[in-house]
Amino acid sequence: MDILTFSVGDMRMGIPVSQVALSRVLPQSTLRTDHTGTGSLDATMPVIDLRHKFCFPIPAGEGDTRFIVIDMDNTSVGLVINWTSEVSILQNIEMEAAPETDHPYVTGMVMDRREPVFLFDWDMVLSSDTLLNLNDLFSKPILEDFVSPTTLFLDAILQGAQTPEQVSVQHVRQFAETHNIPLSTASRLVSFYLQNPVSDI
Amino acid sequence: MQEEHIDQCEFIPGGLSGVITIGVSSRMDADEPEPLLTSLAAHLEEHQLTDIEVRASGGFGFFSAERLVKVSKHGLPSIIYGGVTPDLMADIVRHHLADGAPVSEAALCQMPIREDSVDGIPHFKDIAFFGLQQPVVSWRCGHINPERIEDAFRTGSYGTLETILKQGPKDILSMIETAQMHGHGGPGSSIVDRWTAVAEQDEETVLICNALEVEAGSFKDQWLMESDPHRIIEGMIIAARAIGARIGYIVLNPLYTLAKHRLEIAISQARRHRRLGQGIQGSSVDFEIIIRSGPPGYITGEETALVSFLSGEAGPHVMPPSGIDRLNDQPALVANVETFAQLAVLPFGSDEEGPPPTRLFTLEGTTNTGVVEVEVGTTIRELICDMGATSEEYIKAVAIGGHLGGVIPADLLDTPLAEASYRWLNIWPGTGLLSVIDQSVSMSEWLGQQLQFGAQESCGACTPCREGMEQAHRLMQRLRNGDGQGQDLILLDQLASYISNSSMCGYGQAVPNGISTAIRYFGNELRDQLTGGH
Repeated sequence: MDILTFSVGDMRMGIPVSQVALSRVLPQSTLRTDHTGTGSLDATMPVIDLRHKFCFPIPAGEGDTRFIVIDMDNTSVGLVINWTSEVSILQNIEMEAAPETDHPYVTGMVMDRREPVFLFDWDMVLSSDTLLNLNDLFSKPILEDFVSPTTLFLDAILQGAQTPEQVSVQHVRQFAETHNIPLSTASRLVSFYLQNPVSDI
Repeated sequence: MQEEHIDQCEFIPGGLSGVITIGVSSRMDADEPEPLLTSLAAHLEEHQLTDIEVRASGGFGFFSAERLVKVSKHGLPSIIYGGVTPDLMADIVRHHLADGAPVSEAALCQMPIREDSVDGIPHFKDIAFFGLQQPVVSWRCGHINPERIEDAFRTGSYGTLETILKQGPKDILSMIETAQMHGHGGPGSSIVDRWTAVAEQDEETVLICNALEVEAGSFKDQWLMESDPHRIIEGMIIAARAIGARIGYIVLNPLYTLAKHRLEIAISQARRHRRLGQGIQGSSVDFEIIIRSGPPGYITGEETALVSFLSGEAGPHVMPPSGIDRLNDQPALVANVETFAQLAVLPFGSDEEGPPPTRLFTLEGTTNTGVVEVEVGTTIRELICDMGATSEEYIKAVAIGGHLGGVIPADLLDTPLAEASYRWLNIWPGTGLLSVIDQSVSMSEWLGQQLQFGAQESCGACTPCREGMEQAHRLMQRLRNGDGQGQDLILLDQLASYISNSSMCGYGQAVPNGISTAIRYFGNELRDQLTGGH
């Protein structure tokens, strides 16, 4: 498969070449997008600013706009990308699963000069009304973090401690039961970390 | 600051005529940035300045001049304004950005030395707070947007990662040894032996970044995390590669919400760009960073107490004889935020000489307050009197390193801040906090407060610290009540020595430093104040 790659915000993204109709730079005045990042080119072709769609800041003062045109269901759609984006084609690449996310929007990934290029289900991305924050899509740690029951108990207690009235003997008992740790351990941990002896547990 | 660093700080993206950078940090009140940004947006619109980028950075570290704003415009040097109000912001937009005429009377300094320097505005090298610094790890702080990984890439972050991934732990440890790296959170001793011992363990290890910064008044770690989180992440990746860790924890002060926010963004960005996670940059190396909000309390910043916390346990414990702690039955290595930042600037894979060894200090009680980075060996006088702009006559003593450090008299202001001096002074540089004690403060009062704190914060796990600090506190109270004898100070000094030599953890070993240094340098004053000269 051949992939056309381009930059949106700080990310490299890719789209199968077979879907791409055109890549060019246009004067800003030719293009109109509103505050939602959508608009039209010459009042005919729908245009979506991918920087807005993926929650990247749109630099001020760009005189021109770079965009690519893709075919979706026999309809041409213009996608605004970074003005400074290098647009290149990766040939005969083998796509691999993107390990960082199992989100349905992300369909895979290829490596180009040690930089990941992410591939999306563009039908799903462009038909969605919501903005897609890539940091949210990739925020989950991908290596397993061993968390002991007592750590989970402590996290719950310390979170509650931010609103002190929530840390009562009842809560301590409840959290200890939830995380299956002995009350004596729970008492010791609460006593140490909150400097608040819970004597009547 | 090096010339190439200045050039990178001056970056104005193509197509724009200028950049206005507002330092947004926790040193500002929560309601301060909003009026500045509102005023800026309104006046940019009024003057139809659509080719100006507004950039939010972390702070510049100059706390007493806060609400710092840097304006970079083609054809002019960058100008830094201090104490910017919404009204001044309007003037900056009207005169500097629209007309190209900087508001000289409100400008703090200008940055590059150029032929077209603006008359009447000092160069930043002439402002002692900036000019005497040697920023090696902190030069990007305040100048780049900490929430944009492109800024980190553009200014060199992750540049040595490919080399690191190819190199084995031995090469990395060899570089650490060559650079003579020291820890930046505790006693300030060399790290290479300990790191090598952990790396030699025949099992997977765990890396822990101590970001609790429990010392009140110290903000260097917070500033680094808020202003340049990718520097910390890069350093942790290098450290993980050195010791063979796949998981790294950042245990963060629960009050550091802005640092947490920016670290979380940076970690997500690094994952997206495959600098973190499985198969970093397409290699077989895995490393993940997990942020944990730490508990309140001074003692939890102690190394073994931190490991206990992550294990779901309470309080410090005895370090195993091997000197290697264990978390979830894996060897664990704890290091401070600044140590990781220092690691990230070493020239891995290059024959170039590394940067000079530096250290960050927080200046407190000085006229100029903030965080500064200086070359190791800089004298206390340069920090306090020159950068801190504090008159020598005002200074009675300087407390170094917070509650785990010690106190020195004004006579020793010319002492260089280096490892040999710390040993000679018998102090821990600890968190790098330098607090000025002025002439109006009685040393008995200061020592009384130190001992009260020491007794209160002892976790009570070992007898020397629990009982010793309590006895020392009582002894001091007795002296202050006028019931003491001259020999009580000798007793107090002996007690400090006993606590320090026999306590289980770093807290008990270091907290008596305040007693011993106060008695050593202010013995006569204490004797006169406490016993009336008997």
